[in-house]
Amino acid sequence: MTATYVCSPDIRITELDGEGIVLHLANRRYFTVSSSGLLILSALKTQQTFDHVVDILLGTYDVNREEASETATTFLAECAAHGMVVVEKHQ
Amino acid sequence: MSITRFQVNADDARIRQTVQSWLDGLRLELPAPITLDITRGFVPSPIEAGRTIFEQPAVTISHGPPSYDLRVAWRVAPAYATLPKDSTHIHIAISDAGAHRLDDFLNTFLITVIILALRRVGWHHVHAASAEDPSGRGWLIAGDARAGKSTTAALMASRGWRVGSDDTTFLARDNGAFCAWSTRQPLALRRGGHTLLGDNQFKRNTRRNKFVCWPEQLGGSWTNRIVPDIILFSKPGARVTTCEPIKPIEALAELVRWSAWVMLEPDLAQNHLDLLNTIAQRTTSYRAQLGSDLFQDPTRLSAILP
Repeated sequence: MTATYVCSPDIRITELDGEGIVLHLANRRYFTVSSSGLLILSALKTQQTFDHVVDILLGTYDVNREEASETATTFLAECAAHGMVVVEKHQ
Repeated sequence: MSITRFQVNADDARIRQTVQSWLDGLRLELPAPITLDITRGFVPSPIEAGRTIFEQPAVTISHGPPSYDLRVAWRVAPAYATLPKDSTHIHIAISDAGAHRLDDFLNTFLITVIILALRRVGWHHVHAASAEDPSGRGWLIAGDARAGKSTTAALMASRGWRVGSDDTTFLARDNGAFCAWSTRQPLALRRGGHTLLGDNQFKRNTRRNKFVCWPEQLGGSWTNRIVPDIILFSKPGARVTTCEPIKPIEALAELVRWSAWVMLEPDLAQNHLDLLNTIAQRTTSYRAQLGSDLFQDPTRLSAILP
């Protein structure tokens, strides 16, 4: 089973000095995200696989695959928990 | 140059006159016309008004199918407004009970409708006081109801500053830059604030349970527009006033916090958020504690900024 990730239509993002503010309109909450989080959310304007998210981090930061996977796992889980990212599971 | 103001149409002449006069008294120079059509008569129940997306004391904001127009309901003496998504033509129905309480209608219900209408012309509400110091620097002081905004605005007026608002400010783009608009309303202080100020110009406003005064009565003047250079995100302080600089991203998060309407109406949210971003980048922001030392020396506020 694979999963894909995409930003919720309820979020709005703005970038400032490499960091971001994310509004969740439905929950009426807002979040500050780091540069790597902003990079991931920018990529998730269209549906992406976990591996693609990891590749984007590898292409931008000086990290190994394990570190990139850990960052992606933590960030995506947190985003999913707050409804910022929609996860779809595919057979 | 002619000034664009609100246009009020109503079948009841007294309502039309009262509402038009109240709106004119706010002295807003609109970037585009806003029209209110007010009908006196039957008012649908708020329960029919779709999903609630925001509530204020006595006012419910909702939307729902089929049009997803925004609907504002006044629960006290029913009134009901419909704000179409892409239009500044607003329809309002007011009950007979509401028509007999026009002062409350204006200051609890219609003010909310106006805040939402102004979003449609690119003016976004922020819970902040605004002022301009004698050297021409624009100031915003954002914070909650007990953050000292009104008292500080009154102190600024007492030192000859131009004061816009003590509470309600509208942020807008302006020829590639931005500015902050204010309505013409008296400064309204809680008991204690005006006593500390030592001024007897204040009059008691029983409806708001506050003491009100115009900036001119304190030695200052009123301005409907400033260009913000400095933003203070204030908390009520202890004895001594302090200001700590914050990064633009922190200022942006604070602006989002005090501009809560940014969360309403998905079609307008990005524009509102981007405006806050521009302002956070181009101003200098501080976390401030406004202390009682300002009563002895209001100019201290300027002096302590790095």
